Amino acid sequence: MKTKNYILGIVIAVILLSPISCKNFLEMPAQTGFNKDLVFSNYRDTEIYLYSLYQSVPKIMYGWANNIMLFGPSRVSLTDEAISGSYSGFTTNSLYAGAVTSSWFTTKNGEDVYNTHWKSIRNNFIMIENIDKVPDASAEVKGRIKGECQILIAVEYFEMWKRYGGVPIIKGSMTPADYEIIKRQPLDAVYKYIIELCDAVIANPNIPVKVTNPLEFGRATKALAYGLKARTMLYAASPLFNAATPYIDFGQNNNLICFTNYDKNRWKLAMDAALQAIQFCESNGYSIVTSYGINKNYAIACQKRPKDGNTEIIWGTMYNSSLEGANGGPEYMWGMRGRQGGAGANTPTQNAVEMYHNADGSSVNWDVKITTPPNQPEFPYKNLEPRFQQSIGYNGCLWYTNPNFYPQFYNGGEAGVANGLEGMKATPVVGNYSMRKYFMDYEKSKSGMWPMNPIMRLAEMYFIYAEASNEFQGPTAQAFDLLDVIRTRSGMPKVDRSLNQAALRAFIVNELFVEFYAEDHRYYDMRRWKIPGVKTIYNVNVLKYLNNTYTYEKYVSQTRVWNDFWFMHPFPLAEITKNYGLIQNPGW
Amino acid sequence: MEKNRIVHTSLTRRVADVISLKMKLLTIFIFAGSMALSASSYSQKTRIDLQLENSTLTEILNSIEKKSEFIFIYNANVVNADLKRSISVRVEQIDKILELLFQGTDITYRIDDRQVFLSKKNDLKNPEQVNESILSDQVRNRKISGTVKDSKGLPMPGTTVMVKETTIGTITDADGYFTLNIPSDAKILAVSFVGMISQELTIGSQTTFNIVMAEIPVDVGEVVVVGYGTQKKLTVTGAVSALKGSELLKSPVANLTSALVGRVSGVIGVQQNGQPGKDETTLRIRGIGTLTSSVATPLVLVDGIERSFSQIDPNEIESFSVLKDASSTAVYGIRGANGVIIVTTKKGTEGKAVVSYTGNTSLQSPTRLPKYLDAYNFSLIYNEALRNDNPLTTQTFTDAELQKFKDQSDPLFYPNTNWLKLLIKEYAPQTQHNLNIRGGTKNVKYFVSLGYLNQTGLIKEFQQSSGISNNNNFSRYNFRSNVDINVTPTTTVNFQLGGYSSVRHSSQITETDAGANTTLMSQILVSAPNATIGMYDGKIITLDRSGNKNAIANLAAGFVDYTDNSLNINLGINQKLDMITKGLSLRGKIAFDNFYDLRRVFNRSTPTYTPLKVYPNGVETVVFRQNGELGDFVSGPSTGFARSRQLYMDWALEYNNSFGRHNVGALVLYNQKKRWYHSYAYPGIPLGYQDWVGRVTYNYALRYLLEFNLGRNGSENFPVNSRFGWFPAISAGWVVTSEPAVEKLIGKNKLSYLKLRASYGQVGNDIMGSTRFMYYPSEYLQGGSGIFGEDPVKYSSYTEGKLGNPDVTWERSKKLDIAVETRFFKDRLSLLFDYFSEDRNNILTTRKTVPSYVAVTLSDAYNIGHVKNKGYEIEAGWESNIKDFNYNFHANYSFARNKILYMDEALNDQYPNLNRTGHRVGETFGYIFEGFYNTPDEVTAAPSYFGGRPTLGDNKYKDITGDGVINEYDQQALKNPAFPEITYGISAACSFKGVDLSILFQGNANVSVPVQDYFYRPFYMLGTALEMVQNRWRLDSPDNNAHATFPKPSVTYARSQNFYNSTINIYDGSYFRFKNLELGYTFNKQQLKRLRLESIRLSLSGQNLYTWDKLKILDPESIANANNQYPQCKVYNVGIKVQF
Repeated sequence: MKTKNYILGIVIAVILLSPISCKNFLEMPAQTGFNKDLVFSNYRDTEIYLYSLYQSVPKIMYGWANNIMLFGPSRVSLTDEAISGSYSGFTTNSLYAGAVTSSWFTTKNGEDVYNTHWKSIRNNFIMIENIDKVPDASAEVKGRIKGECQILIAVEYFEMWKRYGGVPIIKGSMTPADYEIIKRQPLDAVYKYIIELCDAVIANPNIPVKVTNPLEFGRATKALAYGLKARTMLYAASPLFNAATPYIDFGQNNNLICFTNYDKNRWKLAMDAALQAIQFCESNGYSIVTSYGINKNYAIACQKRPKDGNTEIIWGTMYNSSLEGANGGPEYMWGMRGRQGGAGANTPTQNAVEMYHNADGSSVNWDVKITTPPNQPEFPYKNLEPRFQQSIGYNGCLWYTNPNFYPQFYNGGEAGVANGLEGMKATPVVGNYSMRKYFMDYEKSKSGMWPMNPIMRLAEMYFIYAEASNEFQGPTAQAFDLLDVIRTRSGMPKVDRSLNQAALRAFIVNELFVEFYAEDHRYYDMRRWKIPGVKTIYNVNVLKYLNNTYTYEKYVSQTRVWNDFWFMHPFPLAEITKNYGLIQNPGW
Repeated sequence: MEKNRIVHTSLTRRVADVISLKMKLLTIFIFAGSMALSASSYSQKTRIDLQLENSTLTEILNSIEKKSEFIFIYNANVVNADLKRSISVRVEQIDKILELLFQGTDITYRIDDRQVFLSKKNDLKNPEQVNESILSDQVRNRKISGTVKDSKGLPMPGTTVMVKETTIGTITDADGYFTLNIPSDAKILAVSFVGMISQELTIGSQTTFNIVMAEIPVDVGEVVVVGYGTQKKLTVTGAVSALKGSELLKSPVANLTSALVGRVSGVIGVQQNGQPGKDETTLRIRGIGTLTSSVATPLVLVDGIERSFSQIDPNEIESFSVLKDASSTAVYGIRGANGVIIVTTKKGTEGKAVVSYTGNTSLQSPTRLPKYLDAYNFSLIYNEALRNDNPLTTQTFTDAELQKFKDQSDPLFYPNTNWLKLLIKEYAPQTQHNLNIRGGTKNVKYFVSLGYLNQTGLIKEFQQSSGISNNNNFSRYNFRSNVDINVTPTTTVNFQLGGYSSVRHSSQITETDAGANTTLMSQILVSAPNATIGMYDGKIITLDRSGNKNAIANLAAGFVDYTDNSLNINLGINQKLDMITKGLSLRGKIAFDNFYDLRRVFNRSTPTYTPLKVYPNGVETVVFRQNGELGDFVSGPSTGFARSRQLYMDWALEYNNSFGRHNVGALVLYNQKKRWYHSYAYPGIPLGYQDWVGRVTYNYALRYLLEFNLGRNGSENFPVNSRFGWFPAISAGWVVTSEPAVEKLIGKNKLSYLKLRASYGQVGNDIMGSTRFMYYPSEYLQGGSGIFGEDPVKYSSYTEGKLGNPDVTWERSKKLDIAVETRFFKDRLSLLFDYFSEDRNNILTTRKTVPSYVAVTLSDAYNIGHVKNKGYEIEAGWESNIKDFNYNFHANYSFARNKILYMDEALNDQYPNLNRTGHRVGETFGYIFEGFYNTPDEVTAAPSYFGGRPTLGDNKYKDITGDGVINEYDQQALKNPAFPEITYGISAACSFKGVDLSILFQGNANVSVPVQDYFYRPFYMLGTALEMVQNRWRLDSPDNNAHATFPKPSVTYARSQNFYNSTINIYDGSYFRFKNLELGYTFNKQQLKRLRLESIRLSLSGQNLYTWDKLKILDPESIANANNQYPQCKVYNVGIKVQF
């Protein structure tokens, strides 16, 4: 009996001891972990990695779901182009009130996310450093990808340069263990680096001049390198940077935020670069959209795909709301309030409306109260130019057909007249307009809306040439001709040839606003011109009366704060407090 | 007195004899170490001063005993009590003194260490026979003999055997043997030994005695569960708090974690949420010793296996042990740094089956709900706030409209909705039932339990017509079956099966997505009082007006059901191996767990109706515009499930033996665990742990305690060649009251127990969030996307993941613990003081000072943090009775304060106020509020204010940097951390006959609550506004602004600086709470004779009955910025327990 017990015990011991023989009990991912070497071990995986490099292309419309960048509104609402509703999540309101800090500007919920530029640059360098290892890719493919990475790096540097001035320049990937301390480089050095990258791509025989495969729409091309070079040179020539002293004296660090000299030749460089870009593009299949009639050319150029006739787009991406997640679609943040379910994060201002002229060149006088004839709510707007009709929705406009839908942006003006369904009480909208651009033809169904995010189109090169040549040598016939192409395709008269340099400058400022309304140009155009932000924002009060007439009365709806040190961005506080010697921009 | 010390003996010498007989190598080792110092040198080292005039010999000897550790052993008639002597010596050795003392007497002496034997000259040949000879002159005509053994059958040398009420007695020899000549009229034999229960035996005609001595159960029945075993409470040298499961049953709470708080010292808990099924309390042991509060979670073991205990039925719990110091947690080594909670479930007991039924019915009620403005004030302040933001703005609500909100003349268009009243019930029921059977025979013991819990939420029903509930509900079935079987006399097998199945139903559409504003409370928080009437005529109403959110609309839009199934199986076996050597046993355990969670989300579109006033023919008519259609419920795309299973295995060799008073224990254990997750990084590779554990315990006569623990653990997170670490800890204790001299000096009546203990050791932590394989290099993950194509296609892509840190290793936590445990007045009063300090370095954290341009994913773990954590615990108790009235008081107080010694932070010399290093973990940084800008002069004189100018009514912040500019650099650490540093509990209980009453008060202190967003900013997310806004700073009533306590409201947050974290919105989160009350009456067996029941107990109890706090806005345990906050609840409970 007793022996039996012990035998049992020993049997148990053997059973229990047996697992100890497993020497490598703690497993490790061995080769199942997907690492850098594996990414670049074949072209298929390399290509998948390439897709990630396009994640941080500049966006005009942000989705709410991304939960970054102004929490809904776009940069458009930081300018006089639009205004955000009183929804407290819209961080644009902080800027209007001047209550912004470095943390606001450059981190989540601000205008920029500083870190993402560097992340993108690093990812592109990793591709450049490793692409040659890929065994099953041709030299041409490798050359093309390297070129794309160089453009994307240049784009990131441009985006930082225009905001922060001189930033550290890195030329490869680093690790936390072996990084070196790099201080801010002079504005000029960063500028040269961007141009150097653009030139490298222009000289690259493997990069396509234009995306021909519709599946690849969104990939960088040689045309983009030309365009980016011209855009960079325009910024370099503009007053903010092209100056002996910066907007705020920064002592020995002046070279971080300006060139420390004024050089008129920078305008020449910009002018030449723009011309080169135009010539290159137009000899390679790009052209200004002119063949769809004055009521459509503009919308096609701004929001349609190449296969819908857009020959003008140099770089753009399609925006698919369903790919951006719930509430993420631009129609929600840009769209009309009330019936259309929009949150009105970007509502056009009266200031924007007043930038437009009637098709005959005349203007609406908004300084007096306008009373419409009965049943003509659209009266004040009806003669405004086609680009207006394709950009801004207003009271009584035909928003969509079948069934016809006319937004009602009015309040009851006397007892017995109910507010319109999009009346002022329907917050969070603060203006009596609605963003129309990007949503032409899409209004009926919210799902599957694919507006385009037009990052660069050929028309911009026309404007760069016109502006730079006007600054360099005054008005020229070529500048007028180029501007005329843009205007006439939207039914506007040709530019008055009698304009002098100053008048043409003013004309271009206005025309840029109109042509590139809500295309993310205004915010940085104002800065490069060193023009303070617009402080007074107007709205129009629309009242309806029993006799079905309407009155339109302009009023000041908001006074915004502007500080001169806002001409350039601050670095995030968290970056400064890392104490590695990053110099904060003045005023912050 | 005299009799008590009639015969003593030299213990050391006798024990030495024993050891020579039954020597064990290990014992010698330990023995030599502990005894060498004391052996035989005492008499030479000790010098005594003695000045006594004309005293009896007895008095002199007493005096020597008091001044030294010497004990005189003699028969009373050896020493002539009348003999008086004078003696005066200074700093003299004992033998010199004795020589003087006994000069000219017939007394001789012999010194053996601390014992001094006195006898008449010529008698002193052999101490064992001393007493025989001393007694020789008495009349003794019988001889008895016998052996004395302990409960384990080991002989007990040195045991005193006396004939009661005489001076006749002897001491057992090395084999525990004695012989004694006794008078014929001797009746009772008294047997005694220090630390053993004294026995009295009737002599009768018996001549041989086999006496078995039992140890005095020093802490009656108190055995404490420690890591991989149990220990007597007396011998525990680590910091272990234990709690009986029955204590927890006093709290009528659904989640077991909530019952612990206040009852155990060293455990700090905060219950942040009250939602049924999600109301778990966050527990931290001895505060936070690492850089972030969220990762300082203790290791929780249920029946020895890492498992969650929050959903276990409290009726299944036998005991809790909280292991706090290095000594007790070293066996968990690499997992031990945050402390360990061990939960042990009930086992069967020998005896007839006892069937217990417990039933509880409770009502839950929110402890506190926020107070919101009514529609009139809301609208009024909304107008004002818009004006504050933008003076140009038109008045949103006209005076006529405001009047309608006030007088409610048109409630459909101008409603005044109290959403809390509309949506939240005052009381919600909760029921709990448990049936268990416990019993067994000598060979089979069992405990079987079945439990059911149902907890209803506080939301009123709006959807009953459509057959679904929009209320929260949680129901849970628990079961457990623990069976122990003695397969053979030396083999025990135990089988434990436990688990639960629960369904959590809630109206939340996406619970995890806090930003989506879909949880109940967030719906209330974003539904303005003037937004809509809610429901009207069966229709969900929305108005085209400011923040026109209708909480009901979202409640009606869907629900989510979580079904959790958890199954735990333990199979253990214990084989005694006394054949190999006595006291050796082998045990092993296999455990298998399975967890499955299914989440199903149901959504549907629900129409809302917007009332419109139309004027056909000029007559005002209300029509309803329908928005949307009623859809079918679709189980949404977010249907998901989580599952995991784990397999655990251990074996252990255990040795426990006693050699006389030397008690030796040793344990060697190996275990391994694998856990498979469905959704986890590297899903194909199970999570593994592999541990070796060693423990050696030694104590001498339960007096001197020594313990050494060692863990050798490996973690997959570290490089293959440096995965395993050693985690040693040493601890020692001294039970002072077991010293005969002390006992003699003070007496058990005054100081019944005094133990000093200390421990020091190193434990570790290998976890940082869910990061796995921290060393693993350069990983690319699927994720991120590029959208390409004219018909856009989103491509999933690879993005760089962590780089891996080849040098990564575990966190090292060095812990020191020193404690004093005392009991006074026959154990009535108990006091405990426990000091601890922890120094944790190598803390796993991400790098924070790497410049952004390096741009690697910084989730990589680096061993760069260093935190110190110190504190103490005090426990006090009084337990006594007045006849049948038993009562007790207990109090515990725990304090833990940490300090960041190093984190990856570039110390900022220019702005030292921004540094977190040197501060406590979890302190909120913000501004110091110095009032409001009340006058235009103040505004003019103000410094630059966040880049602009302050306006009237803005918060005035302190210019900490003194640079004349208020900006982000003017922040500093404010007030206390977000997790409390102090927790305390005060409890009292009494019982009289069948009535029992217990109360518990509990409090937390040194804690701050940043009140933000929904609970601070009015109109946040276009939502509601709290009543406290009434006392706001107002532009239109400057006179009152001196008393304003709230900044000027803002709708757009144009003035968001006023809502930054500052001393104005960081509230003191301290509270003191009437946590628990229980009143019970037990009918005893006699009263229940007719019913044939063992007992019936009826009880009334309550939880969170009253709270004293400073927060006032929400329950003080809330997170005051989370939009998914569900109120904490009070519980009123009626319970019954029937045993038969």
